Amino acid sequence: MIEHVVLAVLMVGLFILSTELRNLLKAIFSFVGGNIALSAILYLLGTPLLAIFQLLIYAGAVTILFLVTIHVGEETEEDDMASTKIRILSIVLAFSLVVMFLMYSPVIVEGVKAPQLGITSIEEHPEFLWVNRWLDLLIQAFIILVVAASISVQLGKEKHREREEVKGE
Amino acid sequence: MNVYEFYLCISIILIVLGLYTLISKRNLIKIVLGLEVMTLGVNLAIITMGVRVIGGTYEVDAFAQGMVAISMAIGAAVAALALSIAMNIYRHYKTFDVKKLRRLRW
Repeated sequence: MIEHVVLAVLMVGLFILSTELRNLLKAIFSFVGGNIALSAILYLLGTPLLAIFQLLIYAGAVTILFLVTIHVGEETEEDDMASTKIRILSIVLAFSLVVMFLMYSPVIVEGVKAPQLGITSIEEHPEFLWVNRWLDLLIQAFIILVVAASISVQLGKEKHREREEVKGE
Repeated sequence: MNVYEFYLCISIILIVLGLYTLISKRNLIKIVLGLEVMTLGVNLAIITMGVRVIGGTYEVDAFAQGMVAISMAIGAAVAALALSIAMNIYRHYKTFDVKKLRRLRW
């Protein structure tokens, strides 16, 4: 249990740093560290496939997207923080949510403990992936649709800009 | 405190941290980071609800694993879309500060 506690504390600390550091590059590297810690937690919980997914998708692809955005934006420092009122309000809201969830957590945990039958391991049952392959296809189709929509929007904007330039001349 | 309670608390902390970031930050990149932290908290909660302790070792239900895999893919797509919107906003307004997006205000 001690390794779980150490990794969880490390992960939460790194995620807090990623949201609080003013230097965006450092914030993104803290996010990567938190994702690596979360991946180690997933491995300890007995889900090596999800640990690999976590490393590939979040510590890899999403981080690259963040880095590209910062590079394009050329804005490496966060501007002024939000007003004190908003910060205090959000801290109060967050604290009250934590208290509310912790008050109801025994109910949630009892619900979690109940089912002990029908344990299926994803490694022991590879047919799970085959039977539910439509989920994978659905995700891929969604990603392709999003990418296509983004590209078409970008191209449309470029064309619009070119037309504006031609009109200006 | 057993493993369920511990990881549920951690996931709740992550969700609340993401919510706090969404509310209190003005930088678009920080807001997307907060959204991703919230997604990770939800993923951890789903995994925790599927954990079974059998003979001292942990096993996670296959359905929970499938749900989290789908959630990860969708989270990455959402991040890509949000960051592309952030880039477009930067091209128009030359800033990531949401307070300065005056044209959308009423």
